[in-house]
Amino acid sequence: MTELRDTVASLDGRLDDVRREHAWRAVARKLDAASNAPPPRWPWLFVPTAAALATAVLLLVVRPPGPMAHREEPARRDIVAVTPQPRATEPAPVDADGVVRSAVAGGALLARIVVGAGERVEQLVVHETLSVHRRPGAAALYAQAEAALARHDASRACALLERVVKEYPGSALVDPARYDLALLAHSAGDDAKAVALVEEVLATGTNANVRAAAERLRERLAR
Amino acid sequence: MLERVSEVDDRELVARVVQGERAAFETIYRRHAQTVFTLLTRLIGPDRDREDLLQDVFIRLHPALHRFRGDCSLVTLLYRIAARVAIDHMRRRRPVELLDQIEEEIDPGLTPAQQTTRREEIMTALGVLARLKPTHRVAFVLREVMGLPHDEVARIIDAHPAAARMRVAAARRAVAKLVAAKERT
Repeated sequence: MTELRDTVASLDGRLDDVRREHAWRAVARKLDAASNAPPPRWPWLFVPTAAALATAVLLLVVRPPGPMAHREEPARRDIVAVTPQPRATEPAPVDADGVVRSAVAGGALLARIVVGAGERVEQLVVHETLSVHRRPGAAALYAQAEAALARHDASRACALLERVVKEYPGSALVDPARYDLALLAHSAGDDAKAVALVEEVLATGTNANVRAAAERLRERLAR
Repeated sequence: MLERVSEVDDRELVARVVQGERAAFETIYRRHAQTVFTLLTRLIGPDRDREDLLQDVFIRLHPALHRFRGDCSLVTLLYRIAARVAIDHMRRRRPVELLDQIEEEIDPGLTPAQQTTRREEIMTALGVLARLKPTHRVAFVLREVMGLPHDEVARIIDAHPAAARMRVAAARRAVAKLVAAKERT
């Protein structure tokens, strides 16, 4: 028991400067967000709001019949042939029966299915799934940097913060990113780089809280 | 009862926070963040989520200061909030392996053999604590590890002093049983 007590008592949990600053800025941001949040609605609006929400959910689940509802369900026919079509770059035109077309640009006619001997032609239009690679925004990069810091992965955090500064020069996150980079440089022993980054924040930064923190860091670096 | 200078300072800072001064709250944070972080470490081990929990503690502290009547010290209030945050965390999360996170608690100046021993001691201690109920774990750490008096433990866990004593005693019995079981294996 004594050994267990002593072992637990020896766990100090050292909170270094970087983690302390990072945690403080997260706290300050959340407090700012909380104080800027709209006031809660009056409770008596809850009931009609809940009713409206329930109605919306029901409408989504039980969809009203669309414009094609009047069409009779086609009788089952033997499929005579399926002819794959070469991929078209233009969406297939709408035929007289109003076959649904893809609303997504790039929807292509992939197959023409002949049902019955020339009776009817069903066109199969399939949405193409486009894989769109979106560039992560400044906020996403900054959040990834915070996650890397929480894992003590300073090099990954640095790389992500540098991307914020380079790729989003007009973002409000540039000041905090530069300041974080200064802290990381200071932790790694590169005070010259830390000073340069702090001076940049003080020269061009617009965020008052970050400027104040940068002033304090500059004083500490000067000692 | 004579108050320490820091307690008087804390009361002044709280008054300024209540008046809306953010800088005073930042001073409270800088003064007490390490203390709270140490408590969280002893309650849940060197868990990766400690930084998030530290933030939670101070985010909860801010509105709590507006309701604070000064019936305990600011540190007691912080410990109370930290204990609740830790208990919520323990209840939400399944136990996770802390092997890589334990490294930060190992002094690199130790020999490899000493480091191995230290690692095993920490794993054993945290393994025993993880088997306790969260409320017992908190009571055990506050009283047995940090040596706080029973009435202080009672204020932190928001219980009657007699209930706090019983909780500490129950935790102590559970720990003794678990340690004995480990020694037999």
